[in-house]
Amino acid sequence: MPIDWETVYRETYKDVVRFLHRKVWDADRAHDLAQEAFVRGLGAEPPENPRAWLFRVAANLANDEARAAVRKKQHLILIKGEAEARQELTPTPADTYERQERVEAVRLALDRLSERDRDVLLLWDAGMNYTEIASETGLSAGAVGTTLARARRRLVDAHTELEKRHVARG
Amino acid sequence: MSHVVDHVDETQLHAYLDRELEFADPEVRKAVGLHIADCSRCSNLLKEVRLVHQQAERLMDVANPASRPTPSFREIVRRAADRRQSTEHRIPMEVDQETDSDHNTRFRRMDDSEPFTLDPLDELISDDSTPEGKSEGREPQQDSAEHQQPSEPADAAVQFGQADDEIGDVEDSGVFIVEDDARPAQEPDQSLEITLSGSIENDLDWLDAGPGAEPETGAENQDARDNTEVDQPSIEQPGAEPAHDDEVLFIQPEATSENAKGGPSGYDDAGVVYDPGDEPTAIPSEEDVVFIEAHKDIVPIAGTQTPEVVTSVEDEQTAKPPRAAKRVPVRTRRSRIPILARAAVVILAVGIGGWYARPFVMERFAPSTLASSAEQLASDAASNDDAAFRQNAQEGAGEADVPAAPLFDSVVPAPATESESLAGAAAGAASAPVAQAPVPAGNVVTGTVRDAETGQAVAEALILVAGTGQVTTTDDSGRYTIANVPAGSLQVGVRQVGYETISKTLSVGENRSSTADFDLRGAQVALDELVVTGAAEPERRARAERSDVDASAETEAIELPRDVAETILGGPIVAVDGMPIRRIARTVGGTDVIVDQAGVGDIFVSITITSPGDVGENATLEGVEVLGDESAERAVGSARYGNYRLTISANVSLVELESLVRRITVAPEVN
Repeated sequence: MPIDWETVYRETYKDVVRFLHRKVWDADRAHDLAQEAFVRGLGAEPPENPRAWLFRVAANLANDEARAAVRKKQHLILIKGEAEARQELTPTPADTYERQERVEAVRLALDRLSERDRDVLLLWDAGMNYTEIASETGLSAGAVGTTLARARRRLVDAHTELEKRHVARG
Repeated sequence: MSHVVDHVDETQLHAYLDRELEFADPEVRKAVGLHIADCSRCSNLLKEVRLVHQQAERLMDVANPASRPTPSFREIVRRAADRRQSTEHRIPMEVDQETDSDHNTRFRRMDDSEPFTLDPLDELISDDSTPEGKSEGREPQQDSAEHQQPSEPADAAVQFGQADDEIGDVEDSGVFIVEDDARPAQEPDQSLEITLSGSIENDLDWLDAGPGAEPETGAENQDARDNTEVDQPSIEQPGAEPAHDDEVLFIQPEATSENAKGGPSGYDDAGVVYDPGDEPTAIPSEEDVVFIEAHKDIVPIAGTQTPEVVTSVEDEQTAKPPRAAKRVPVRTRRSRIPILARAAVVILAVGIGGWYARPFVMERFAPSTLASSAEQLASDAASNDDAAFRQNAQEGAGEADVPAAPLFDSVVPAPATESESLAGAAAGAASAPVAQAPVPAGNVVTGTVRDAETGQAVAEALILVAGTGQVTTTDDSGRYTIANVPAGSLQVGVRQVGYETISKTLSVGENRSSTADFDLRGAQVALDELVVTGAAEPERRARAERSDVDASAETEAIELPRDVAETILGGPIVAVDGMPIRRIARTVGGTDVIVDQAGVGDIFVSITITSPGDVGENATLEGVEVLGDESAERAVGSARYGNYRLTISANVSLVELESLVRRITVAPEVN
């Protein structure tokens, strides 16, 4: 059965961007990589589950991006660029700074999660159900629940700890 | 079938809240819910888990990407088609190169195994277009420009070998330029691959017109050429027969220079085209002009496939024709017309064109014309239903606080009509044409919002500049700043739940900071605008049955009989692109509903229940209904439901979304 990619695109694009943004932390790159995933989808053999396929490709693209960033030591530059981009969009420096801090705190908290926990959490956040996540990660659906519960708690704990440190530093 | 439920653990409770695993089964959910209600241990654990669940969800929301316009699906299709074409038509071919005493670099094909026909580029270099035949030899093309296609290979590019970077662009005239330092080192017997990529139908058209081109093609092209003044690449054919069984077209970029010099190209012993007289005769240049030969027969490398023209549906949907890439041997020589000289010609042409266009521009943007346009805009605005805003637009100036509730309904960042967005500026345009004026960076509006009775700062108030789509919120001190506003007369409004919505019209000077303070008066919020109803309709009853509520309980539904703006959201969804707005929009039966984020034109809305109130602590935002047919549902895209949160991803404008969303339902959940 042919895939209605246009519908898939409409329904999934934002989710893929959201998923990617939490991996590359750069809105422009997230959009670029999401579009790249769809471009590849159109050029590939029709996958059985287009949505799952897209997230798999997106994850691979993000991983490639991360490796490239490490190689080129551009990670901080990307974040800086994103911050600058946000600054252009926000009306006040105070708003920008506050948002940057919030986003950075979440990013750091997510970084403290194991890769498995983070992936499961991001896939859930992108709109996948347990069965889809299991299919993508190789976990059983029950293990997805366990992983997701652990990931949420660790995320909250890590964020709380970071907030405390931030307050302590003044 | 009854379900016996033991104590539930943390993982199960997460799945329970996620409505996953066995908890997706209403019977199981109901049984678990009953158990939790009777078990203090599980009930307490549920509260802890729910807290973590909510905190995690909110943290994830914090890191939402900045909103960007979603590219059209057509664009994605076009890119996919481009890639497919460029991949399928990339024909590797090994060449070596020689540099003679005149500094001519000749690239020679090394692999001489069995050739194959290069389709679809045959269309470009076909026997049909060169009826005399490739091996019959031809007279040098004296007026080759006549046979040149006028199309521009604007997107064509060239790269060497496996390099990722394109190192040269194909100019409009078909010349491609490679900077000296970008060209690979010239080493003997070096294998060098050169790729010329471009669109088949447009970008590479200029490869097509050989000296024996069909008369009609030449005539058609002649008409087009007559309308252009730019140098067209010419095609030369050598007098000697090529040694290789290749169809060779020689693109001579600077036809004028070449013809003036009178030195046609020829073939060397191996059939590789070269130009015997290629000493630079014009202004010296630091760049090399690479002449491109198109070979009909190209030796394939093992594993490559004969390319095919992609004529799938995607191609038909693309805005641009499919692209092709073709590896061609090239040779270099010094440029006869340096790039700087060409740039000078372009600049001169633009300057002359601008001078002749000046009268038109002057008339177009004369004050009288602008005033007339402004009157027209004000007239257009008069057709708007928003009487208050229309009045403000026509009055144009003044600093009186006016009721501004209609303002927010008519000047949202995605106005339905142009008249709405420009009306505010239109009224004053006769004296100050701000409607179309560029926005200086230094124009700033600042101010403070206070409670008129207590004098206390009002935080999180929504500030909106009419007609610009610029919004912000006040900070904890009640202060706000909006930068980059247009100079001239502006209408600035403020809205906060519990207060009357007011606006002011103020004059903003160039590169100046203007102040607009607001004292908000308390307002009686008409909460009864929202109708909380029981599940009387079959579909709602069905929802209730699906939910885990007691069978006798009714599903609470928040009715949105008109549009989102007037009811549940308390006003239009407005936000600066990428900037989340967090504000309490409405209290429904003790339930605070927050519009968490909204973008303009590219809508992303997250609605969160923060204080459950009468709906119940475990209420779940259950669904969103949209008006219209299937296309409307598809336009709204996906809606994700979860505890306390409903996310609507919509690929429609704000106005469309408001008109599409009819009802958001909230289902209580067992506590």
